[in-house]
Amino acid sequence: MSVIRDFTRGLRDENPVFRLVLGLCPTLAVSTGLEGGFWMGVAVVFVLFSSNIIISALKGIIPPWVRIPSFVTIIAAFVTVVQMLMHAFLPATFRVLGLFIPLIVVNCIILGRAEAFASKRPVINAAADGLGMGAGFLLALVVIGAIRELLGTGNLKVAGAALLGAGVLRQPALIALLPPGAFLTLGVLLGVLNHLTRQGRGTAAQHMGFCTGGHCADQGAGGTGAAGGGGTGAAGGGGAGAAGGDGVPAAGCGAGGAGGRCGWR
Amino acid sequence: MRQVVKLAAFLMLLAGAAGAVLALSHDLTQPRIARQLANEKQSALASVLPRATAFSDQTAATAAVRRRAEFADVREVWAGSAGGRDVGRAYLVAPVGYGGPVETLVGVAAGGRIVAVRVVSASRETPGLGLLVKEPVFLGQFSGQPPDVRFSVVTRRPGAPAEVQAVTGATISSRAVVQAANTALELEAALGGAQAAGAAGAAGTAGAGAADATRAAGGGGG
Amino acid sequence: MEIAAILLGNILINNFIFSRFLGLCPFFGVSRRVDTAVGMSLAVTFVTTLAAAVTWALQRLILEPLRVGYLQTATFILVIASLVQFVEIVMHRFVPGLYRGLGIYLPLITTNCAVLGVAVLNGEQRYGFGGAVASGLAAGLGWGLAIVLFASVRRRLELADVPPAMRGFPVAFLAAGLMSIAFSGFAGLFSRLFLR
Repeated sequence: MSVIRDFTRGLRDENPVFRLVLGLCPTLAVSTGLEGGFWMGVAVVFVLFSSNIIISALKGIIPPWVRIPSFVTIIAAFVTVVQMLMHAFLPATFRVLGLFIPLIVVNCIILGRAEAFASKRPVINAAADGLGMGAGFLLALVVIGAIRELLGTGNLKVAGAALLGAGVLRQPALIALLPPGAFLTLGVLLGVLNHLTRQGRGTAAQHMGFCTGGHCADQGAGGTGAAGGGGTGAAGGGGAGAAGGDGVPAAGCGAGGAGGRCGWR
Repeated sequence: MRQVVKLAAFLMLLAGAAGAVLALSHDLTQPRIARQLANEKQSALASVLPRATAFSDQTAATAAVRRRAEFADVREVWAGSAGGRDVGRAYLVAPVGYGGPVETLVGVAAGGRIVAVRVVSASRETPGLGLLVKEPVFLGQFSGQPPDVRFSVVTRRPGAPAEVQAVTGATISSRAVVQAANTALELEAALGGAQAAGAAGAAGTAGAGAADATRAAGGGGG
Repeated sequence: MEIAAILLGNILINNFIFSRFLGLCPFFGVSRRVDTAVGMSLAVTFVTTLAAAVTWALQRLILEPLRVGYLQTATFILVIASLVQFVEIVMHRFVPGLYRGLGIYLPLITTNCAVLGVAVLNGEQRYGFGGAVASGLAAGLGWGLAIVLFASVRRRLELADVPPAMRGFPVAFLAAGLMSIAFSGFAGLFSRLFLR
């Protein structure tokens, strides 16, 4: 059933963080703890789900020329609603997540999915896609957050309660909680995942330019459908390997579509 | 031209709809948020001035004194009272720490002695390092000191009473809190004379500020 | 002195990439070649500075007096989007070479977290107009510094013998992590220079 596929795709094959390497800012900044990562993921699920539905529902009446500003307005509205809800019902989490809640609006994942998927597919599919991508993001955030919190404090805290008693590390590696730790954790995780899924040089994650996963792929000549096109489309457009120029996805975007430019046209 | 008008009209409509949704959500969530803020403020104030039962906002009343450059970081001033008698003042000072302002609430009893210090918000400080200034282990060093001291930060074990040992690896954040404490004490000294008037009198002179009347549970009657 | 502290702070001590995690998507996407990185940083710096100025005015002159602070996110991002569009048009007119060189990266500056990030941070820190502009400028410069440095590192990485599973993004992240450690050494700079 296509709807189910649209959902599971975001969880595994095209996990926004682990496969498409999108939405990096919140992933690295907010994943200092299991709980923070969880709630940020929930917020993104809400925004993705809602905005995909609305955009898909309105796709008939949004004029193509102003579609990006329209998407941005809709997404920004939902993000602000999430801000207010969090402030009212989860004030402690709201403070922890801080700056990164409003930054959900520039999360490449959301705008990318709106452009590449929601604006072209029926509401049900768009909703499933939003849920799936959001769930994938949530999963990634929780995993990274748990690893960093475990390494950095030796313990996992949920709703104020420590899950592992007095902690499992005698001397936790504080660096895991600091910025370098975020980069290192994600780097190692990506490497491990690549290895486990037996994808070496040709992995989709390698050829991702920013936002090419959703934003530009649909105009790429080689894009095999908006979603799948994220990997192969950009690879086709941007050169097959890292050695091929700087993998500029412009080729994919430039070739197709009116005006030949990604983004605002 | 007509195209432009049509597009602009569509965007305006969309923006208007979005704005309406947001205004509605705001109206629905704002009361709850305001209540939470008020509760948090009350419990923070109670934790730095435990003997007070009522607080009145003196921020407006002290504006003249606070205009001096050294008090630029002071955000709020509260007077605590118990049974109409003055207990002390609480100062919300927000000096810049490592990544941003560190909002510190300093409770000062009559006589210039610090009762307690609480860090209300240090969201820009580093987890595991700067954020540790919120811990009682660090903040406890400010209580029980002689009055009218000037705190200074040291990185080894403190020798003199007014020395505060910084959180390891977080000297900048620790310095911010120390600065807040010192600023609070300086402001307390500058406001010195007014203290004798007590919370009741202060609430009277500050009657111009409507905010005081609503916030002073006990002082409003005086 | 405050301006100097802001500049130093946003460029080195709280570098937008290595400390604040803002602007990461284009960071990993554009940093394959040094000249692209330089061009991109110039564009981003221009936008962050302009955006900081305009959003400051928006916040202080419209949002706050009208007590509609909750519209900050939406209005800021729409302003930034329009600014980027405007910069595109201006560039197309006056520096077409650079415009073509940047290609699609120009419209994508809108989604650069650093731009919206610095605008929101300026509001939180309650900077004056000068401080806000300095902050925006420094944010862009710091971002540019990080990306140009990183581009040079990535060129080397391409020639290195990296295990298959780590090629591409994984090893790039590790490199970024090491650079982040290096940049955290700047923390002491602040206390030496600015704290009384």
